[in-house]
Amino acid sequence: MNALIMRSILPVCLLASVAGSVFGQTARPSKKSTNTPSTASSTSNSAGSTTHFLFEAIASQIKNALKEGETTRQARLYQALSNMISIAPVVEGTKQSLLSDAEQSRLDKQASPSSQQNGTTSVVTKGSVPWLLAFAAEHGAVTQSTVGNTVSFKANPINVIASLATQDYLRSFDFGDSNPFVKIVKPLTLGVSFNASSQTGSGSQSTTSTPNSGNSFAGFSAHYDIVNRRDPRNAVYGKTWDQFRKDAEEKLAGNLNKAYQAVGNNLDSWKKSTVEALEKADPNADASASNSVESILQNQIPALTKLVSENKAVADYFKSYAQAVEDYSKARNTILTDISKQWILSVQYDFTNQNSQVPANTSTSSSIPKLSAITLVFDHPLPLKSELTLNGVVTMFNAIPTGTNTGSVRDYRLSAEWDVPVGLLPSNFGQQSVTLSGLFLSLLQQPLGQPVQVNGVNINAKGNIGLFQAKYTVSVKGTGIQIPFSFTYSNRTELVKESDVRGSIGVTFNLDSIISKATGSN
Amino acid sequence: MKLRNDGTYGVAPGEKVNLKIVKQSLPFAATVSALIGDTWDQPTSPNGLTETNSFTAPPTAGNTAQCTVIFDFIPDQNGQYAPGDHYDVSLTGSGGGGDQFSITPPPIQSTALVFVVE
Repeated sequence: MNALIMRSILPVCLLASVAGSVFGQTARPSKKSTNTPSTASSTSNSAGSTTHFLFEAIASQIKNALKEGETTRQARLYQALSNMISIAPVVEGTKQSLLSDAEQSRLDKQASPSSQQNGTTSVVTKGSVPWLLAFAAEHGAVTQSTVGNTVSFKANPINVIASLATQDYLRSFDFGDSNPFVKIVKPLTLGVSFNASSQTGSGSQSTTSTPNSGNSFAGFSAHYDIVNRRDPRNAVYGKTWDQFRKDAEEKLAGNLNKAYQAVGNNLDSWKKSTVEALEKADPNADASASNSVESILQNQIPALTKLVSENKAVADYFKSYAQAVEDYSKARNTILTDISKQWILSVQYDFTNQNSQVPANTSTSSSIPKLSAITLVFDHPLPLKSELTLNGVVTMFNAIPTGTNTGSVRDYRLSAEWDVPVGLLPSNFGQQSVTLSGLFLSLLQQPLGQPVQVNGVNINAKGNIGLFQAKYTVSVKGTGIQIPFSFTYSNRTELVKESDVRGSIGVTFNLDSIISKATGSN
Repeated sequence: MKLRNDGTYGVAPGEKVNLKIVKQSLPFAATVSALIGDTWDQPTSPNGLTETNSFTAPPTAGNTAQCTVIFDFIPDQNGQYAPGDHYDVSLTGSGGGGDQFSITPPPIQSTALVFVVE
């Protein structure tokens, strides 16, 4: 099935897992101590959840310390508790989010079939693909005359090879970065689709072709990013981050250091009593248990807050530190937001097996030609955190049926898509978006490259097709699953010159987060 | 230099202390504050993925030197941190001994390093 838009590929993992990855601890296997000192600032938009996150980070650090050997355990506990002082301003109500909007909501990712393949659930084929693997099962149609069921897979071959070679999802990220060939091929993502329909149409069957047989190969795609500077780690932003480090980060480090010193020995008795309590904690206990690290820390927080606030001189230092945290967060978010507004240019090739798109009761005089399509994709951010995607497509017959005088160019297409994030459901449902799409398709040739009959009626299918689609997509938070619901209206389909109204639904899975959780943590 | 039970580092009078921070992938986004109670031998900037600093401990027992290090990780366009990325922090003293630990995402994190002359 054709979809209108292919959005530029952003070759990393799913948006739905952003919150999980940011708020989760990604422990690196190491024989050395993995010290994750306190987080110096907020990573949430609410003081409550921020405090919760910071608290969890500290608890995780202390659990690691409790598992250390006898010689370093107490020292690590004291270090962890010293670092807890950095969250004092957060406990006091610092709310600035360290995460930019760009980090928290991405609209330019897609695990579903590419625009030229059959069976996508929506008019829009999102351009973003997973860093490693994606799977989609969809039911629908866009300009085709047959509604199909398609199962599709997408993979980045270099990253798959890297994962197999390193046996570690986490370590595969940097695989081959020093190899020029690998660097060139890395932006390439391949996809393959299969028709899962088992259509049982009535009427005459094709005389020479095998239309729409179940479980057949539907097509494949290759997507390549030509220009994509939305990665904040791109080398072109090196000077920007260096300046940020010299300005905001040095100020933050200096203020925190002064705050530490201001508290000084006042913290000693608190640390001593807390360590004594933590020595009796069970690092594996459920957080709600009275002997858990979380419970013990929770009981100690009021005393810590009092230590910081009861002395005016100390409180003033922490006030300066809190301001430095806010300045740091704002500067960081500004940089990330600016980078997220960069445009993307990519190109995609699609091979389509038209047999999977032809109604069962279609008669043709010769074999149905395969299609090749070249799509140029342009992505650009718009206000309201939305994203505009434009496609220009030319579709050609791979072979012209004998006995026909059709040309090799089958059609030209222009399409546009506007994605807007929305919050119709509670935030624990994950990201949601509304998408409006439009397509103009100029069909220069008969879609199957030859005269056809549908239900015994001769079809002259040349002409223009106009199509509009509205779609609502909801993500299942932290799972990599997206469920799109769409409504599509077109003035006609490729084979039938009658207006067409369709609704469709699908499920897509981005497997990156699952794989990373399975192999990347210790 | 040795890691003491209270989480501080014991150093000998006049001992030279080296702090080395190595990140796995660009950009390097850690910052070491100025020392309180001492001064770094010379202000340094990260060279690629590595930053090194050193100072000479005060000559008098009981004196302290203290700094704070901020560690940040810059996310990719999807808010993900480079898998496997981390900072390796190592402390060594000219008189022998030292300590090392790793800092992993999520950002931002901080750690205070307190050196006590013994």
